[in-house]
Amino acid sequence: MNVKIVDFNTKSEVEARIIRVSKNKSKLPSITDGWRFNFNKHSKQPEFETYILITNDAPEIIEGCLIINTKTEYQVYMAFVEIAPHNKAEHKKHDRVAGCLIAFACKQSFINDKEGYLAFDVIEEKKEDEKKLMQLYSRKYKALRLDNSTTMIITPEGSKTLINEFLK
Amino acid sequence: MKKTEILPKDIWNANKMERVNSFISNHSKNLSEDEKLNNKLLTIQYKLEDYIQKEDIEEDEMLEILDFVKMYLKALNITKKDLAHYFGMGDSNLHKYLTGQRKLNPNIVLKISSFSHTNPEDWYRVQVKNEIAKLKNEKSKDYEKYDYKKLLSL
Repeated sequence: MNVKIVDFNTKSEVEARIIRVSKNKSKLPSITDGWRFNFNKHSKQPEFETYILITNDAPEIIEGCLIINTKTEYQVYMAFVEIAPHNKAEHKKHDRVAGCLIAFACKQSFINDKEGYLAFDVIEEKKEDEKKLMQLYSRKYKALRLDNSTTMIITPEGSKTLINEFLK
Repeated sequence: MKKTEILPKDIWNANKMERVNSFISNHSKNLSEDEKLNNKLLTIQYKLEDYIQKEDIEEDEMLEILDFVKMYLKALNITKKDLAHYFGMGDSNLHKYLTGQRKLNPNIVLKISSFSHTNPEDWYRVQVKNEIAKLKNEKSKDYEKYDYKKLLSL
């Protein structure tokens, strides 16, 4: 689907799209490329669907990657989401990549008859980083923390807000 | 520092799944009837948008306008006959438009889009997408010759 991300330096909109990757057909990012997750390996699991976000101007560069499981009973489970190393920290190239991918996962929840519920886990080596990240997900992506666990859930209301903010 | 990768199986187990399911089930039960209906209608709208945006549609993935309208009828708990009556037309006449036996016209498209709170253009897009997909599946080779490069011998 077509989305718009933002050039961090110029603040101008960049035309981009989220596309599904067929299993074993594309080379996906991995730890050796400076990414945190091995998308190449995980995308091969039968229950997972893999999506990448690319710009129209440079489709050979992956800006962000998402793996979801739409087969779970009541929700879509977001197993992995990561933005490219060049989109991280203060010198990042593009903004809104994570928002577009998470909103896309929320939309898939509706499309797969899961009412807009999206679940995922936030796990960091240091507990304080984990807490900060959860606060960010809560504030920016409307996620609720499940009890005192690492799991967060975006409800239909939150999903609708994200879809309107990032995918319209 | 060595990067360690966290695997889904380390965190997403049966116990966790049960707690998540229980939370969602309770949350969903507490939604008002209006919210539930709104979510159902939104689901259909997103399916429609998703279908239009798909790049290649295989024969077995093809959805007719009737399939989408049926989703609305199910969500709203009304029959096609009720809808035809509401639109001021016969059931069989409406059926012909919805199954592609008759081409959509602005009058029927505006009725469907007004009824479902969707963009009129989306319904035309479904029709065109299906027509092209059918033709491509049947005779894709026949059209490869129509290439400006071949015409100009480039």
